[in-house]
Amino acid sequence: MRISRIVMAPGGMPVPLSTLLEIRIPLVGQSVHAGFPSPADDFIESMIDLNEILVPNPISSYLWRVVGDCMIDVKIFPGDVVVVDRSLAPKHRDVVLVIIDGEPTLKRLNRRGGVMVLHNENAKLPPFTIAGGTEVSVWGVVTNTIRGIRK
Amino acid sequence: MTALALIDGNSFYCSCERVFDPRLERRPVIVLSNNDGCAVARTAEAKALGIKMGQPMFQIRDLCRQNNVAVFSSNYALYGDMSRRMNSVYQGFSPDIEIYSIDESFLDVEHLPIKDRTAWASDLRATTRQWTGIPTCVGIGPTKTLAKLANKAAKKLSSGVLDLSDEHIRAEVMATFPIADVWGIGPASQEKLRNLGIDFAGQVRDMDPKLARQLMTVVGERIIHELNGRPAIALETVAPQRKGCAVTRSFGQRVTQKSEMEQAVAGYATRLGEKLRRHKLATDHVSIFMHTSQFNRDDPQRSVSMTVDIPEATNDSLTLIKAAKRGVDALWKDGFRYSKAGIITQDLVPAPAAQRALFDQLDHDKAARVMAAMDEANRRWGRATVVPAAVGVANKQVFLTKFERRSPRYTTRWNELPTC
Repeated sequence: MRISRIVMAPGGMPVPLSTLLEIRIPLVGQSVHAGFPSPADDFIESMIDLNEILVPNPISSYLWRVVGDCMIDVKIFPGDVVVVDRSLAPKHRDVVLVIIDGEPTLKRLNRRGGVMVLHNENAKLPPFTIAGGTEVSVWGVVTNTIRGIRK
Repeated sequence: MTALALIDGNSFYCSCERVFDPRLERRPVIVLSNNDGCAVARTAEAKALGIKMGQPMFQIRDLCRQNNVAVFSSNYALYGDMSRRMNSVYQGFSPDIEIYSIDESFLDVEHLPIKDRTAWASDLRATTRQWTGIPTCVGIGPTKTLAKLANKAAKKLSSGVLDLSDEHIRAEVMATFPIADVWGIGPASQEKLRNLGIDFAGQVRDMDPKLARQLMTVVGERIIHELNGRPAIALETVAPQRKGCAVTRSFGQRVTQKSEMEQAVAGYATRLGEKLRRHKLATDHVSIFMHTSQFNRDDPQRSVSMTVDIPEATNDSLTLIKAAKRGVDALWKDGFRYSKAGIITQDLVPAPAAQRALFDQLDHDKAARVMAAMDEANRRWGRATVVPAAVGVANKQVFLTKFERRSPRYTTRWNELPTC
């Protein structure tokens, strides 16, 4: 590990940047070429894996790119990537990926008096309604969004 | 009594396309082979239009247009990823799995603590559908051949599941099960059997194994045992060590220049090297072949091959390229329009145990480091990001396989994700 690749995090803990490509970020345990062995070596942990929180069930999770603006009030913007898990049973207040007459789109799922209804989360859009005879199916449940904040 | 389940994806390639493009649910869908030549996967709607397995595209172009058939090039990145996901789902249902092909797996059922195999299979099927979107069928039987047979029969059931563990149910199904659909009975054997008045699986089961051996060699005898519920083909939960490896492609357009052929074969040698390194194998020879197209009957025809020996077993792409080029050099003749070429190797050896030759030693460590760096770059940024110079620059290659109608690689590329 080259020293030049290490920056200081706010807490003063060195965080190597070169490993970010790998998703896995080692927190401690740098090898040294001379001098005393690092006192941290006895405390080397496994690495933080972003997948653990972003994609807890990778077998049934799929990434989709957002293009629509119907969810911007809950901070899901065009260009974002959403993690959609097909293994979850959709429940009240979930954001779901639904297929409406063959078109994939994001909607809020709400229970209203025993029936499930779909909503947009964009105050500027007219209320979302479905014409009779429309085919609707839930493709999966959105569990996370991924958005770079440095445009 | 042994018990195996065979689960397979219905119209697997087409189903993968439908998962990420739901509009296709209402259209007939077909997927074409490499080079967009023939239909290799068809949905039920496409089959109903009369499109046959392996039918060349030029025969069905009008039919597809008239019936709004969605036609795709093979998207192996997508199919491979979906296959991987499906097998991960299966692992939650049985610890012993043999991945038989990209869309078929055998699962051990015998050692599972379950009473109702049909309910277990229904759950397996429903979970696979839920997690991956791929519809499947499940057949259960005491041998691989019977599990296959049950799976085939299950395709006709709305439940998509058939358990043939019970001897009486099995006999009933086999009485009307055509021999053409029995695993391992090819067209030649079918004709021999029909001449003896044997049309159904039940009759094959009752044949004298010696007669079966006479008619259909040892394979036929094995089929008799399997149909009688005596396993003759074991479950291979660990993939057997690869004995050979091949990289072959049809050209997008005919190759007439030696330099083009050299680039193409160098590309295959590079890919071969990647495959061998991934499996930690090595080889001490490569066979190169090239031929013209039988479809261009008016063209002069040529089909040649040769084997080039390498002084010591290697998986170094640069060495393999050198050997492959030597082969092209020896084989090449101007005046032909080559349609296909490839590179094949047999008798692979484990890479670390590869014998060192006394003479002409290759610079192992350096080559290994270069290859490792190349593999890593290609893994991270996509196949063929870094290639040996002999392979040529991508936009000049005329031999890249045609994928004109390939769908996005939805699950393996950041810039090809499905959109919502």
